[in-house]
Amino acid sequence: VINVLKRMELSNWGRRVLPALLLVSLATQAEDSCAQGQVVAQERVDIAIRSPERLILRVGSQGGRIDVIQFQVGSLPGSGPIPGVSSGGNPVTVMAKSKKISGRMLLTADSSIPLTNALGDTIPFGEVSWTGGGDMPSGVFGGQHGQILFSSTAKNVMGTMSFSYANRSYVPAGTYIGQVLFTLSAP
Amino acid sequence: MEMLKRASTAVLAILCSLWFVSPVMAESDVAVGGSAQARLDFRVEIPTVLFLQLGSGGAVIDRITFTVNEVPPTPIQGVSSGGNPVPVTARGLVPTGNTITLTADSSIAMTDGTNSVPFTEVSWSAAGDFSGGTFTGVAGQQLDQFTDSGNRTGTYTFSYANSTYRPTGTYDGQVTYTLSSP
Repeated sequence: VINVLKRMELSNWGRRVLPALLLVSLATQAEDSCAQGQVVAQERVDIAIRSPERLILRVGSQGGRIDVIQFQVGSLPGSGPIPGVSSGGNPVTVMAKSKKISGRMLLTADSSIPLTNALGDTIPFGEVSWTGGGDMPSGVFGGQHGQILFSSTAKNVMGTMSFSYANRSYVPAGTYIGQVLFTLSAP
Repeated sequence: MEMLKRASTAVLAILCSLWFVSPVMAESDVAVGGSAQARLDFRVEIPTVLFLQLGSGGAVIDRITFTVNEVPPTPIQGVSSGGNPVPVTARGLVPTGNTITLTADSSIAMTDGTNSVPFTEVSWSAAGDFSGGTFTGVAGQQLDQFTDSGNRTGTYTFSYANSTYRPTGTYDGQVTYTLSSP
C-alpha cells in the first residue's frame, strides 16, 4: 500500500490519513484512487481487513463484580442438598460468545482449590453441583483444573446455573469460602 | 488548516488503535484471541447443629419396663416399648476441636405415689459409639463426650438392679438426656 501511495502524487495530509482510512474500512476491495493533483499512475490494491477473533464470557453479573453464591446450611448431612443463593441474579447467568472464530468454543472450570474456613478446614468443590438451564448443561465440580463444562460449535451460548451444596458429609461448623475460575477458549 | 488536518489524523489514529485493543472486564470478560475468564465466589455457612435420638423417632417417648418377678438381688432386664435394644443417635456439626457432650438428668426418682425407687438402681450396657453405666440420680451426669463433628450411633440395654426389698407397686419415672456443645 505504501509503495502505491508513494507512486501517487498526494499531499502530506493525504499520505498520513489515507492508510488509516484504509485500515478501518471494512471494504474488502478498493480500486478508487484518492489523490490531489495529476495522477501519473494507477494500480489496483486489494485490501483485506480481518476482524479480530473475539471471545466473550459472562458468568453472573455483568462488569467487574464477582458474584457470591451462598449456601446456608441449617440441617444435618443427609437431609438433602442446600440450594445456593447468588448475590447477583438467580439463577446465575452464563453467556459465552465467539466472533469470527471457526471451530469449537470450550468452557472450562478450575475448582482445584477447595472451600476453606478460618481454621484451615476444607470442603472440596465436588460437594457443589449445579442444574443447568438454556444451553448450559448440568454438572458437578470436579475439584480440578480444566474441567470441561461444555464444548460447542455455536457462536452464542446462553444459559443459567443453579447451584447446590450436597451437605452429605460431617464437616466442622464454620464459614467456608472459595472461588471457581471459568475460562472460555477456542482451541 | 494544517492544525485541523493534524488533529483529524490523531483522532483517526486513536480510533484505529481502539478498534484493535480488547476491553478486558471481569467477571464478564472480552478477549481478542486467547481466552476469556470470569469468576464466581462460593460461601458455605455451617452453624453448630446438634441432633439426639433415643428410642423411637419424633415425639414418641419410649417406656422401659422392668417386670420384677424375682426376689432381690436378681437383676431384671428392661423391655422397651420401642425397639430393643434401644437405638441411640447423636449427631453434631461443631467447629474443629469442639466437644459434644451427652448428659442425663435422673435426679427425680421413680415413684408409685407413695414410695420411690432411685434411678441408681438402673444401669445400662451400650454398643456402638456409646458407653455403658449406671444412673447417679443427679442432674447433668455425663454419659459420653465426643470431639468434632460426627454421626455417632449405638444402642442401650437397660437393667434394674433389684438390690433391695421394696413395697410392691408400679413405679414410674423419667430421665432427660441432653446433647450439648459449648
